[in-house]
Amino acid sequence: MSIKNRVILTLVAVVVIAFGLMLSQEFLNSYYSRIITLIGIYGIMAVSLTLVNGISGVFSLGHAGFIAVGAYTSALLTLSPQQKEMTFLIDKLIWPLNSIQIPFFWATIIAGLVAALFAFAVGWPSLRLSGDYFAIATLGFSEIIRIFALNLNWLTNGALGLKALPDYTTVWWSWGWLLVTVACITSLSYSSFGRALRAIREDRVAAQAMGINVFKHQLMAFVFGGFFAGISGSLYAHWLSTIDPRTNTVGILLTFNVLIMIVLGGLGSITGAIIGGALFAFLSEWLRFLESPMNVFGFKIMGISGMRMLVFSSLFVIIMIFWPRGIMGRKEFTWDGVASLFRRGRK
Amino acid sequence: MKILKLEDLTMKFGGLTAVGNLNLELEEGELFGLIGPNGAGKTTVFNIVTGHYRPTSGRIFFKDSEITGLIPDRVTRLGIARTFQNIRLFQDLTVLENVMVAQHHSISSGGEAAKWLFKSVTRFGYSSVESKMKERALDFLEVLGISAMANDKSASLPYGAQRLLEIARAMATGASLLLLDEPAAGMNPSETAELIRTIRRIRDDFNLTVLLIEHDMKLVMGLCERIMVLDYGRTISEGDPSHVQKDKKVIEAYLGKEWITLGN
Repeated sequence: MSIKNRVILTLVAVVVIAFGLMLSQEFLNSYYSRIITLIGIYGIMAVSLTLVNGISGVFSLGHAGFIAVGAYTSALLTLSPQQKEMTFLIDKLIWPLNSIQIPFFWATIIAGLVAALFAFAVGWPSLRLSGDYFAIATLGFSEIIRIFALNLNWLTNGALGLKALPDYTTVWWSWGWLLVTVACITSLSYSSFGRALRAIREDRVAAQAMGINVFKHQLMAFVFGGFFAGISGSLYAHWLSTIDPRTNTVGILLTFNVLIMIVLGGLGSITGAIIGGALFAFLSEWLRFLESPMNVFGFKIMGISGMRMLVFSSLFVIIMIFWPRGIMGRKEFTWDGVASLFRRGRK
Repeated sequence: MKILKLEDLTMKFGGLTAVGNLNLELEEGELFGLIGPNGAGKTTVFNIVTGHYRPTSGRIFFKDSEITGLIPDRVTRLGIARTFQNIRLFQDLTVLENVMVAQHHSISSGGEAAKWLFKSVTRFGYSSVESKMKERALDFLEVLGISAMANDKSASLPYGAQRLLEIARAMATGASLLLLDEPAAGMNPSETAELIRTIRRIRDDFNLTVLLIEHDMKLVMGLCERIMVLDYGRTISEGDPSHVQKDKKVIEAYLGKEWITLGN
């Protein structure tokens, strides 16, 4: 299939999805609309982690750290000075953050850049470690971020968290940023740089012997992943409209949730990451009925909180047994793939 | 011009001297064989030259500039590429992609890396370099006679073809010196004969210098112009094939002392 055709088909698909989203805004209630927005946010989180863990083969457990950095950065930039005055009870927010307010779009971009800066600062020393050690270092990093958030009263409002964020994150913001994320990460990972990253994943020593600077490439991927994690953090904060460092909204549990998404979808597949994100958002909402009181064969069962995570984990185990490589494996959705599917159908 | 010069190269792993006081000079365009019994230190020499190991002492010169202690990717970018004894292809990549990866350093090193990264992400002015890489990669596959398998996963290739792909990949880095680690291992006699012709052809057509390790004596004696024999990390003989073949020390190293006394 020629490049021109593929571009046209992609544009058509984008328009169709946008139209679908418009219809959903029109006809679905706000509860479903919020889930659709969440799918976009989870998609960004999963795709950015796929670049790091799936394509570059660096095992990072610090994704939630970058999401948290993005969330705090952007929230501090979009809250109005009056609101900040009301929220920061223990210590006053430091100048100049206490007196500025900028539009959501720019706050999100800055959130991404700050998270990318953190990724650079973390990756520079710790990417010299190999495999498991790197995973532990990044895990430590994300906990450090959370502990700082919990204690720096003059910056993050400590354990009280940030509240009453304007709920800017609409379906359009989240899916728009998903489109940007997918476009950037797909072009990167299917360019010569992405090929080099996959070569490093397959065989680090051989990649070095081909003249590839392994450290620089992995750092580049890590910073890219950090940038989009920061973006998703900004969207997430303005979707939840609060950031609370005590619960696991931006703690290690979020990293594991994103990991579940990308492993479920197929580690190394961008398509798989989006599918994983969507499934996760959908299932974790849909399974809520398990936690409400219900009648089972005439017995009344009180709702057990946490039940849906139990079922979710069991589902995950079953999927891993039957599809150890996830739903997509390392395959991607391609127009050529669709075309060959049709051709096979016709025979 | 001496393309490669090793001066008193020594590599010790704890108490074991894997390579001891090795001196080697390679002329440009030469086909040079490094042989010796198992554990003689041949692959260690490769690992030192390509920067995977830092030598305990001694110096390495490539085209008159010192490269001792440089990291492997720097060494490759300067023009020394290698193949691996235990094949190390990028298994999940196609044959074509394996060769294209070897050209990646041309856009990812030096001052223009950021520019190319930007072009890769935005796709502005990127496709021309991609198609150029692809064309060059196909040329190398053609030269080694494996272009028919260009779109197969490299892991699915038969053993002999995998060895050829390793050579194609090493050539694609743009190297002028190739280090081939047992290129004929696992090949049958007719494949080996074909390999001898191929190596000779690529040396002539691409102005390469080839340093190779091999156990297949037919290949070594038929191909190499000069041979060095190592045993326990030390040079025991050096010269043209006929000289080395008659050297008593070489026979002793391979077959033991007893055999010589019996033979005489």
